[in-house]
Amino acid sequence: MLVKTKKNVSVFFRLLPFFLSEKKRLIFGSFAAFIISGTHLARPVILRHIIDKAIPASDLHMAVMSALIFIACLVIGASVAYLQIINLATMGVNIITDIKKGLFNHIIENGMSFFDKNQPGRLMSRTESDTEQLKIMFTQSAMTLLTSGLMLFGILFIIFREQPQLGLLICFAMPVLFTIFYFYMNYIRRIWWMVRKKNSDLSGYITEYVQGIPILQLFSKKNAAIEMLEYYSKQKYKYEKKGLFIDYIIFWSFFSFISETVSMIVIFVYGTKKIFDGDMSIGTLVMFIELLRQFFWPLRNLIMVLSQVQTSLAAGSRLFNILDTPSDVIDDSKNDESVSLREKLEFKDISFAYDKETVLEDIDLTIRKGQHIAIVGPSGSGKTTLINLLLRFYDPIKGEILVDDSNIKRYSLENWRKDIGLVLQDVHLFPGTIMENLKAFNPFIKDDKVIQAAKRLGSHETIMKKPDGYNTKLSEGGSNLSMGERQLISFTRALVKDPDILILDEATSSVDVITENMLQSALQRLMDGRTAIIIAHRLITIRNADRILVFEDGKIVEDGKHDELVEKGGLYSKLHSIQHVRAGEAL
Amino acid sequence: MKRKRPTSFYFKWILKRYREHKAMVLFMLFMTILSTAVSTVHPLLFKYVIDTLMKNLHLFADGKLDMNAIINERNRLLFLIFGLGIITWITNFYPFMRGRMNMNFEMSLRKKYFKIILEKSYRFFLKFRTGDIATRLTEDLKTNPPGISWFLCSGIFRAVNSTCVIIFCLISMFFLNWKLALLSIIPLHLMMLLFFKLESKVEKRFSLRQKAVSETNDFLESVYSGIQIVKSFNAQRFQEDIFAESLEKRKKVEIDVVTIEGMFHIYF
Ligand SMILES: Nc1ncnc2c1ncn2[C@@H]1O[C@H](COP(=O)(O)OP(=O)(O)OP(=O)(O)O)[C@@H](O)[C@H]1O
Ligand SMILES: [Mg+2]
Repeated sequence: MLVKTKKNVSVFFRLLPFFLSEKKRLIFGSFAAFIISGTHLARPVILRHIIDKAIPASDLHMAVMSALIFIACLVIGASVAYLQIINLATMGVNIITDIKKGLFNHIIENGMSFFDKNQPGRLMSRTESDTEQLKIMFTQSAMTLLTSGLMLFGILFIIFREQPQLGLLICFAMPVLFTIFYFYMNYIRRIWWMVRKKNSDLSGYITEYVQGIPILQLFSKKNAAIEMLEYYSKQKYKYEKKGLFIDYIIFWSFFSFISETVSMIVIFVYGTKKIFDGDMSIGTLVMFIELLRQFFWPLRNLIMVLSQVQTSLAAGSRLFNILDTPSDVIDDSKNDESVSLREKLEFKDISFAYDKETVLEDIDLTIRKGQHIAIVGPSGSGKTTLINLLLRFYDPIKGEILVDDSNIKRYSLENWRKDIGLVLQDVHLFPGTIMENLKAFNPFIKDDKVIQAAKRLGSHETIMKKPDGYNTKLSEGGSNLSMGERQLISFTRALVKDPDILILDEATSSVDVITENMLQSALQRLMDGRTAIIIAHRLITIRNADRILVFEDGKIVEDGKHDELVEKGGLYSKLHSIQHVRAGEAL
Repeated sequence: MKRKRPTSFYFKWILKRYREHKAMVLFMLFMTILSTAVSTVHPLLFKYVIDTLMKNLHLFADGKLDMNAIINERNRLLFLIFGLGIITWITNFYPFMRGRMNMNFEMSLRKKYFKIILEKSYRFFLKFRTGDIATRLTEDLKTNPPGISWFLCSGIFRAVNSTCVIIFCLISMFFLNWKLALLSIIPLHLMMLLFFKLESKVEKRFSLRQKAVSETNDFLESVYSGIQIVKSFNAQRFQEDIFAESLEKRKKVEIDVVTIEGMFHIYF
């Protein structure tokens, strides 16, 4: 509890500078808060004036004047409140946009192991929901705190001036009310948290079962499924009902009974006694009743805000957790020398582990410029890991990767990656047009260059057949393209980059034979004149490679040409024969 | 593929749901009217109390009433305040009932549709994705806005409530002072006019914001899950620029929404 509070305080202080970056709006906001609470407080005072002075004196002029002032207060209060809403919204949006940008930049500059630890969904809710949560703190919470505080203070001030005894009574009552409220808020928050949890259990159950329904039907376990659904539904129902019951029946109705009826009775008894003694006017009584009515709401708002601020600070601390994580692949080279492969690429004594378990062990491998290397091997044998190291998504824990005898760490990440084209099985296209995707969003690449590349690869016709040609917008993940089209685009994307080294990770599975043939020839054109590393499960696609490496358990176990390896009768020939049989079965 | 159904279809559907919970719906209707009535009686009582107090004080000053009678009168007023307080307390149970009915609807609807889906053939599951079906059964049915269960009870009864409030207010204003009441009908009309004018605008701006938010989400999803491609193409900086630009655009959209939403907060 204490630790949590301490943490919240430090998060708060780290957030403070963001507030201060919007000085003008902050000043306006505080000023507006004064006016808003002032106009609120003025209303009961004016009411008293009308009842006590204007009405008994039958002074129409005075009554009209007071009424006009009353209306003016209303209008000014409302207008300022409106400006305040806009002011706060603008302030919040400005601050949060900066935070979002900074966070996003930090995230995508981070190393790949960061992305292993944080799934996309999680990162998304950091960048979007948590920041929005913080925004509430910067806007509503901050100003409610100020306005409500001022209101409470003002009400107390007026009551004290008029009736010090009553003021004292309220001063004593306030901390009590405050404490009750505070504990209650924390209590009810836990119940609502349970409701959310039960709800996600329920969703989980439904998702799981809907997936399995065809099987359920087969085994006709429908009744059991419905019973389980009822069970989960009831669990949620139970907590939700409890929350609702406590919140409305016990707390709020009691609260409004106290704040409206009991307090009115107290004031009324107290006031009439004073009035009968001639110590108080009716106008003052009305004013008190009005003030008291206004008293409970800022109190309630204050507590609500406190509870909201806790949520915001928790979101804030999650954000800082991310911002405090440094990138583990260090781009310490300020060397802006560009890279070009002249002779050879060398893996020297490379070992690597993602966590504890060794995934690659003592890999030694030299690739000559222009060679086409194929890598095969069982799943999990470390093929993808090797190219992850080559791309410096991770750095090896032992050994080094050399390009023409100089360590790739010598170059800047950007320059090194400039020289490599990556084509993945999971094509991954981004929201935007085909053209933008082909340029990988690099605005410095000319359209002509892209079109030329497409023509060279043979994807130009396919692209032109789309409704808007190169300007066709891709919907989520490119779902308005076929699998083959998507892969063609990803080949073109690599060709536009025109790298020395090309990496393909199982780029041509999951399409039909005709498309695959078409892709194969496109691929040949893409690899033409480049050093290429191709990972494929399907041996047919790599027969023409200059050299085939067979991986097993993080080691290179075989190395040679297709025919040699088949003859050798090792792992490769085994894989080869299995796939031959499979292909036969499929026919 | 979307079939547009006539409004009457939805009405019939709602009525059918209500028939399944007839007693509860009628009770809710009663509670709605009661709670509105009580809340409009509040200012009337307040006025009555103050008026009586003033009148009695004048009578006392003129010597027509003695102190005891005044105190008796005051106690009678106290009793009235207390009585109304108790009734108000009871009507404050009303939101709870609304909430509970939302929950009842949710439970029964979910069971009903789950059963229906259980009977569907294999083809159905080819056509609809699991995620979509699950969303229909959870998110779309949920008890807070804009879930269907929320709409079936709270949504509709809130609308009934506001209508009641307007009617009761008008009635009680006529009761207090019919000239003032007539006067206040004029701004009411103006407000209605303004409301309908604003409403279409609000809707447009809200959907613009909704679109902007989901664009951000799509963008983030695709960058975070495609981070290898982003990095291998050295596209980080460009993605950062795109994100910054889209956030700048979203700023305007967000503020536009608040500009108009704020008006509702102030006037209505
Ligand atoms: N990001 C990661 N974090 C932790 N462990 C990982 C990660 N990626 C891969 N591994 C583990 O490292 C080992 C090698 O994985 P790798 O992806 O290199 O295999 P692969 O040969 O490419 O397999 P496949 O043919 O299935 O793609 C596996 O045991 C895998 O579980
Ligand atoms: Mg792999």
